[in-house]
Amino acid sequence: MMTSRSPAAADPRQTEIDELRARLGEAEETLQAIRQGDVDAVVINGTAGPQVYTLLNADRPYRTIVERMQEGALTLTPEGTVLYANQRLAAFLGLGLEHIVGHEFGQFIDVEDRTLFCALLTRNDPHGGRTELALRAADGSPVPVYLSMIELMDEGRTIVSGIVTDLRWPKQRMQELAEANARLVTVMAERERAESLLRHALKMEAVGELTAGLAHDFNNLLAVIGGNLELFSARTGDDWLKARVDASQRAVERGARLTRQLLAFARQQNLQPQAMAVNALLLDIEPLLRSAIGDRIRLQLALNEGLAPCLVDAAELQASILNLAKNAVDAMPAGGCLTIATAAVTLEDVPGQVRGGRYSSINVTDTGHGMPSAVRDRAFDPFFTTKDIGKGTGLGLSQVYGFMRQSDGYVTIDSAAGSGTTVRLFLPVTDMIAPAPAPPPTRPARTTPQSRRVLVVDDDRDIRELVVEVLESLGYTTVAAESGPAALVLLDGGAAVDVVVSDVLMPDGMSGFQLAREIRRRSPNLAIVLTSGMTGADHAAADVMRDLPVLKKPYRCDDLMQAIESALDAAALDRVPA
Amino acid sequence: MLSLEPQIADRHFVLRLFVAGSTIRSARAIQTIRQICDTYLTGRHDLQVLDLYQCPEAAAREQIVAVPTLIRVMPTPLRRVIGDLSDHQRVLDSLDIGSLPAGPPS
Repeated sequence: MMTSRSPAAADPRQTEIDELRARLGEAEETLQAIRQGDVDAVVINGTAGPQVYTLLNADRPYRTIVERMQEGALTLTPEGTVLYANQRLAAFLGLGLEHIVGHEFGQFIDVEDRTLFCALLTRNDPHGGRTELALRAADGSPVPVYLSMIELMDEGRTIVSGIVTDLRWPKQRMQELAEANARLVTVMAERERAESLLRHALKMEAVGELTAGLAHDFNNLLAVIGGNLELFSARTGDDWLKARVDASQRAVERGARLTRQLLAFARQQNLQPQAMAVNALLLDIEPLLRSAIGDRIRLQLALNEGLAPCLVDAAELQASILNLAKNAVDAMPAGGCLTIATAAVTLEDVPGQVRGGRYSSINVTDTGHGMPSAVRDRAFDPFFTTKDIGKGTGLGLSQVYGFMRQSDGYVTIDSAAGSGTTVRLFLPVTDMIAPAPAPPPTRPARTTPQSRRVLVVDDDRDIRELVVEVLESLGYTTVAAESGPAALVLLDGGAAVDVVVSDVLMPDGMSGFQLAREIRRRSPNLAIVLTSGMTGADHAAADVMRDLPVLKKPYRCDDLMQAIESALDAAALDRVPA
Repeated sequence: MLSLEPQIADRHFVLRLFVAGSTIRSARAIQTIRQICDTYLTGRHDLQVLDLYQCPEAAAREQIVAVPTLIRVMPTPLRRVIGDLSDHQRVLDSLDIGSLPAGPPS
C-alpha cells in the first residue's frame, strides 16, 4: 500500500524514509505476486543480458494460434528435414504429424515443383523467399499452395521457418470467375451476332423496297419500249431497220431479266409454289448442270433419300441452283469439285429470325478460293460482285436470297478465304404430296382471234394504247378502261367482252386482283389475264386467286396472245358441264 | 487521501504496462488499465503496452522483475504495481488515482 505524502514531509530524511518504504512495499508485492503465481514471466538480468523466463504455460496462446490458424506452419533444417509442422499442414497433406516430422519436406511436394522448393531452400536470402507450388496429398491429389520461407537463428543454430497458404479456394474461385467470364463472352458474342443479323435483315428489307419500286417502274418503261419495237418490227420490211430493232429488243430483254432478278431479291416475284421432291428436281437438272460447269469441274450429288416434299416454286429453285453452280465454277478457275447435297434438318426457333420446324436443305459446296469475311457479309447485297466488270451483275445471290425468303426458307453462306464455299438453302417441308408430272393439257379447238373482244385495263396511258395496238394488230377487237371502276362500269353497261386484260397495280383503290374478284363475282365465266411489273404487293389477294395467270411485264406480243388464249381455254373448260 | 496534492488531480499520466504475450493475465491487465484510463484519465493519459518477448531491452531498462507490471512513469514519483492487475481498486490505490474525480477536468 502506497503512503500519501503530506506537506509536512518536507524533511529530506522523512522523504527518503517514505521512498524506501514505498520500494520495500513494491519488493514485497513482487515477491508475493511471484509466490502466488500471479505473474506470467520473470526477467533475469544475467551476464548475457536480460532473459525472459516464462512461467506456467505463458506461450500456450502462441501455440494455439500457430496450430489453429488457416495457414500451414513448419520449421525445417537448412537441408529440408521437417522439425515441426502444425496440424493445418498435416490436414493439407492428409497425413498424421508422425509421418511428416522427421521427413524431407521435399517428398510432400509435387515432383514437378521440387526444384522450385530446392531453389527456395538454398537461396540464403535474409529476406526469405516465396513461391507458388503444389503439394501432393496422401491420396495423390495436388494441393496448390503459396509457400514462404525464411531462415532464423535460434540458440546459435539456423532453422528455416515456413508458412503454407492453401490456394485451393482462390484457384477454384478464379476458375469459376473464368468460367463465368467465358459464359458472358459467349452471350455477348451471340448478342452481337443477333444484332448484326438484325441490322443485315433491316438493310436487306430497305434495299428490297427500293429495288421493288425501281424494278416496277422500269418494267412499265420496258413494256412500252419492247411492245412498240415489236409493232414496228412487224410493219417494216427493211432488213437494216429490222436488225436495229432486233438489237433494241435484245437490250429490252436484258433489261427485263435484270428487273426480274431485282424483283426476285425484293421478294416480289410471281412465284407458284407447289409441293415438290427436291431430289427429283436436282436429278432432273443434273445433265444441265454438268454441261454448265464444264469438264474441269467434277459434280457430285449426295442426295438424302428420306426427304419430305417442299413447298417451293420449282422453276425458280432450278434457276437458283444453276446460279449457285455458276458462282461455284467462277470460284474454281483451276478446276475442282462441286458437291450438291441434300439433308433433312430441323431448325430451332429463333424469334424474329428463324421459324423453327422441319426443312430440307440443299448444300452447294465448292472447293474454290472461298471468300474473306468482308465479302461474305455482303454477298447477298444486290449489285455487290467480286467479278470483273461485265462478268456478273451482282444479282445472282441476291436473287437466291429473295427467292428463299419469299418461299419462307433461308439461305446461309459458309466460307473463308482459301477454304471453299458452301451455300445452304433451307426449304420448308410441306405435308402436301408432290404431284406426279402432269401430262400437258389438251387444248380445245381454238377460235380465231377475230371473234374475240378484249377489255384492256391499265392506268398507264402508253401501255394501255400499246396493248390495244398490239391486240388489234393480232386481230382482236378491243375496248379500253383506265381503272378498275371504269372497267366495271363498261362491263355493267353491257359491253360485249370475252376476256379482260388488266394491270395489277393501279390507283383508284382497286388493284387488278380486286377487279378480277369483282368480275368473278359478276360473271364467273369471263376470262381474265393479269399483267404486272410486280405482283407481290397484294399477296393476300394473290393467295385467293392463285389460279389466275399473271403475265410478267415486259412481255412479248406472242406471250400476251398465248396468255389470252389460255385464259379463254380455261374459261371454256369451266363452262363444259361435268 | 485528503492529503493528496491538489496538482495531481489535473496532471498528465504516463502509464507503461509490461506483459508477456497474450496470456489471460495480460488480457485482463490491459482491459483493467484501459477502463481506468477511460474513466478517470480521459484526455490526459498516455498508455504504453509492451511485450517482454518483443522488447526485452526495455524491460531490463525499467528493471522489470516479473510481469504483468504496471508503471506510473508520470506524474513522479515512479510507482509500480505487479501481479494481478484485474483488481480495479488495487490498481487505483497503487497509482493514487482512486480519489480523482471521474471524467476530464473542468
